[in-house]
Amino acid sequence: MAQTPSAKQPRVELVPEFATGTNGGLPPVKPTYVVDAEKILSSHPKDLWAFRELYLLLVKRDFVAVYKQTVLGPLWFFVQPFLASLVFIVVFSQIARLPTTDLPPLVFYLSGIIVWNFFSNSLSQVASTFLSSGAIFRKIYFPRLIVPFSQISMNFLNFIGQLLVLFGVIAFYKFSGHRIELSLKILALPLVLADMALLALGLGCIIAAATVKYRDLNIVVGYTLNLWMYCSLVIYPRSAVPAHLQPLLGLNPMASFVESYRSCLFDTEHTTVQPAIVATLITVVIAILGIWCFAKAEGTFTDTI
Amino acid sequence: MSVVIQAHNISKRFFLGERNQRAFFEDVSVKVIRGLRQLARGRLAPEQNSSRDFWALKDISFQISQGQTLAIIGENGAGKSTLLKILSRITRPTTGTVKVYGRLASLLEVGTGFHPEFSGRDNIFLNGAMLGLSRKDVRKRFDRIVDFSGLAKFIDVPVKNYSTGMYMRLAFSVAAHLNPEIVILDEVLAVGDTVFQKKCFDRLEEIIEEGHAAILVSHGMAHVRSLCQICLWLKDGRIQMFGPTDEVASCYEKATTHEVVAHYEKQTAEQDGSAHPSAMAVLVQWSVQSKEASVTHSIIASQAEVTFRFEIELNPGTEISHGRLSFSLADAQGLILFTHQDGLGQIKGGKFWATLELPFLPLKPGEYIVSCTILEADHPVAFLRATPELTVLKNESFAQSGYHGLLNLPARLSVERVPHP
Repeated sequence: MAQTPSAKQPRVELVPEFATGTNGGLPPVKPTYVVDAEKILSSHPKDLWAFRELYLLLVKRDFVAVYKQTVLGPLWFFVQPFLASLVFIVVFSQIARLPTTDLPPLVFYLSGIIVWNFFSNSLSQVASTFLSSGAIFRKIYFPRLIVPFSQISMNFLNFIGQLLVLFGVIAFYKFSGHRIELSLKILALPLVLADMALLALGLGCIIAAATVKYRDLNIVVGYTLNLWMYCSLVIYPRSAVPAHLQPLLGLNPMASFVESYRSCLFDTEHTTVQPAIVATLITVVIAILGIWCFAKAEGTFTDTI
Repeated sequence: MSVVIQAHNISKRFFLGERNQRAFFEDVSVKVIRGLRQLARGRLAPEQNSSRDFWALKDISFQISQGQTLAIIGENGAGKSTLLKILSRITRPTTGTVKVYGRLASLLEVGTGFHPEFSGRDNIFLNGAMLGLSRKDVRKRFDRIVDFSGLAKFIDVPVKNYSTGMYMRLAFSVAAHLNPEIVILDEVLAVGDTVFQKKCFDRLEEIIEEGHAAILVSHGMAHVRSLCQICLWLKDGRIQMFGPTDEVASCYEKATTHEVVAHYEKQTAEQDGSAHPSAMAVLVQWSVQSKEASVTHSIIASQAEVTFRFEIELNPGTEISHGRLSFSLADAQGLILFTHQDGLGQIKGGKFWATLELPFLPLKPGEYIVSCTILEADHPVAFLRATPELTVLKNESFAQSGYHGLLNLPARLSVERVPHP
């Protein structure tokens, strides 16, 4: 191909300059970003920070969208756990006669349900990240992890709202003469919640990465989460579990987290620290694995879904 | 001149066929069976999937320096959008690296990420954030965005109540006011009614001027020629040609013209109802001449007289008593620009020359399809296409009219004040 240099046109370099090791005579500048087939992570932590405003807007978007055009609006968040608690009271407390420690059954179930909702909604939403946001991901680049983060945060806000209602219920019981003690252990609550969020993020990310290839995994997730709840000390305390099944609980980080959460709130159950540490370690491993899988999937998911 | 985008050996492989559509259990069982077989044989067999591989891009290397605008051209499926997706980090290449120096925004499609329940105002901020702007940046541009969209009255209405046109206008307005350093544009971005489309095109040109560098994907060769200095022609995922726009664009036009002509010929044949219209005569050769310098099949854009000469051979033994020759000139897209029909008189088998004189031919630089049809009693008997196509070359000394449009006329404008009565 012959080239005719002309005054109007800038010279066209057909040989990439890096082949010669120069940069147009200028000192080499750091690239704003590099796309590399060999490297997995394109969502650099610095990138995530740069897009923090998008994160806030996405949280706001998801949060506000729930209220619009619904009959009960925000009341949904409070009606659902109450209804579930009522069913649990009838089935597990009245019929199956499962103990609820010293707590009134309503407080026991309500506290369990709201924290389980936080975990399971976070997990299932994170797991469907690529399916629900695929259309945007295909057109615009932003660090993909922003979406899971915002979904977990949105669920956390819901949880806080429900927690306030729980405190209202506790106040009501106290007023009517029940003995429910809140203690300083409540200060450790954020740690336990962070543990749960991390577990939801990690597992959700692993499943999200897998849904790129196997779409029906999302149905399995909803189903599994339902079963998981029954193994996670949401509807019965550890003391109700027979001794020979106790070691199995150790394998379930959520059992330990739910238990720690209740003991932070009410100081009723005595927890040893050991299962919580094991659960936290499992969680950290899952979270790292999850983010790795997610980062690997985010580069290629547009090719398959 | 510092480098802005540096792409080195980019390739992208897709898997075709069943590979990605297998269910999980099939995947697992296939792997287990393969593993067992290998165990039985005691050696590792290489995975066989190469037949299902499809390379959407193969070994693409190029770079853009500051101030340059690159056009990416090629037919549908040539890999243009895959390349753009790699550059803008939407998908990862199979091999290779891209280094980008500067804030890059790709406007591949507008309006993605709008939330229907949100007002226009909220969506401007949301969309801005997705495209990498801070709240402060968006606030600075907010008035200009609203102004450009012409939707000031509806800015607090949820976008679900917008008409499609309004929605697209708002979306384009956000995208068009990002002021990135490097911008990737898709020409189909221009949306809305004719007036707004014009506004879009003007804005696109402004964006290109404001930024450090730009990449434009376009099928309109006039835009490519007017906006871009360098041009990358992709064909089947490989670089067919990379260089100054004029050269690449004319080669590309030449290549696509062949296809348009083939289609055009087929269409003409079908319309005329004659199965083999070229059976009766062939075009041996053709040439074009103008007073300005001209090579056999090309002329330089000018005002000079142009003469076409066609050497036609009528099959021996045939005779046309009331023949007519219809000359037609079409642009590279097949749009007929000019036709002329004249009597041939009585002609017998053998070679003859047909000469067509035009006082001037005010065409823009580019490729044009020339063809002749011989008619007998208004019934076409031969369709003759001139190959190679007519090329009109750029004339540096000749005053060019604007880049839009098909004709190149040395227009002159003068302004006079209307005297008060």
